[in-house]
Amino acid sequence: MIFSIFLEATFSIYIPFFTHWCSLLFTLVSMLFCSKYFFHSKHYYEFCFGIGILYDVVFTNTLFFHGFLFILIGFLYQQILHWLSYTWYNFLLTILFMIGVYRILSYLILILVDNMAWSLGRLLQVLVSSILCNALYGSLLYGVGYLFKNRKHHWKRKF
Amino acid sequence: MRKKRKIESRYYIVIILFLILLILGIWMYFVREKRNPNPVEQVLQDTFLFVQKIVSKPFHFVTDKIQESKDKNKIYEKYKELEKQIEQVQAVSAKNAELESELQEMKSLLKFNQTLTESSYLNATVVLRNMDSWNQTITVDQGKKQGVEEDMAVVTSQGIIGYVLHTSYFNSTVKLLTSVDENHKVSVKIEGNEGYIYGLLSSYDTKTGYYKIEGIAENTEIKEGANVITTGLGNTFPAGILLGTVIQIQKDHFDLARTVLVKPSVNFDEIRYVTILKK
Repeated sequence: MIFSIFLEATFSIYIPFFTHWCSLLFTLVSMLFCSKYFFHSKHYYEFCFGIGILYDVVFTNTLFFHGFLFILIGFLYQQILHWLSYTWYNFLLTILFMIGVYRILSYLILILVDNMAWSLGRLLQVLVSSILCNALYGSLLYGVGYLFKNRKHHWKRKF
Repeated sequence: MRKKRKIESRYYIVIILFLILLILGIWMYFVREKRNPNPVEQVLQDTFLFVQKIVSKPFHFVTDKIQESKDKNKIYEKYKELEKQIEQVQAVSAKNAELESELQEMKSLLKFNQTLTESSYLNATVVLRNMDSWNQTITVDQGKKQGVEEDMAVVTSQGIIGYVLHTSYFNSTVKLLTSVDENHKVSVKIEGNEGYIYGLLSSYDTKTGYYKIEGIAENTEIKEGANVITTGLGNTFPAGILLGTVIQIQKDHFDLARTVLVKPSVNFDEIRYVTILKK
């Protein structure tokens, strides 16, 4: 999780502002990835809130914005996980869906509370640009998680 | 044993509604752009950025090396270019001295004191970009300790990029001109045939990547390719900083005023090092 936050912060310098292909959300993706380690646990929402507050302080000039938003995203994700099995395909689809929900919600909230101008084109651009690199990062996390799981079983059998 | 009392569903609705309103209220208070972060936030941000600077060192090292090798290939072309420029330097410096004396004379006449020459500089490195996609801000590694204050202008070697939105002890957040706001409209002037034409930078088009300058009278003549620079009017931006060049001139619906599209002199995607102009 911490690695993802630092990675997002480092790569943010190299990613153009108005790109059509890459809008990083590594923190959110890894927060969703971590949910399987908190399955059916209320501590996950505390975790989401903490990550959201850190995200607020570090990346934006707001407070409690991502804190509450990440709780909502985490809650929705936990509900979806009840219905789906944990496979790479499902994981990818659900994180992309949650990224979409996050983008739309954050935009609507900012319009509501921060007098931001509505622009469907801008929203669509941000949605499209959030797909590729976050899907790749999600797959990478899934792969790493899968490897570690297998390695753990291997060690358990060995000793 | 005592039975737990069940709460009626209507109370649930009231509680949920109350919570939604409470969260909206908190957001309305804390999601203001001009909000000053409290000391705890500032310390947290400074600590994170300090660690982040160390963590990102290997990445920057690799990218710098790649850039270096790219530049090496162009070194001969650059040398030839510089050789040509050296010949022009003497003429330019003589002209510059003359202009400087003229400027001093005019300033004393007009008591006009906010120019680029009077600002002291502070170089900074970009350590972070705002990733929420809706507001374009960057964070640089100079803060209150180095004398950075809110509303100071921030430039690169290519031109103006924005102003300091807020500062913490060791870092500052810079709002870019690509998210032009009502409170910080930039007053600019365009080089015309008969002197300068004044206007206001009103917005930035994310699709085309051009600034829009409005409030220009119909009876003025503007040529494409003309330089657009800041006027120094207002408290934030000093005079004489390049904003960009005119790309296109458009008429408004009533044929009364014109909108000028300006190509920024700065590539906003490649901002790594900036200069803060101290007041």
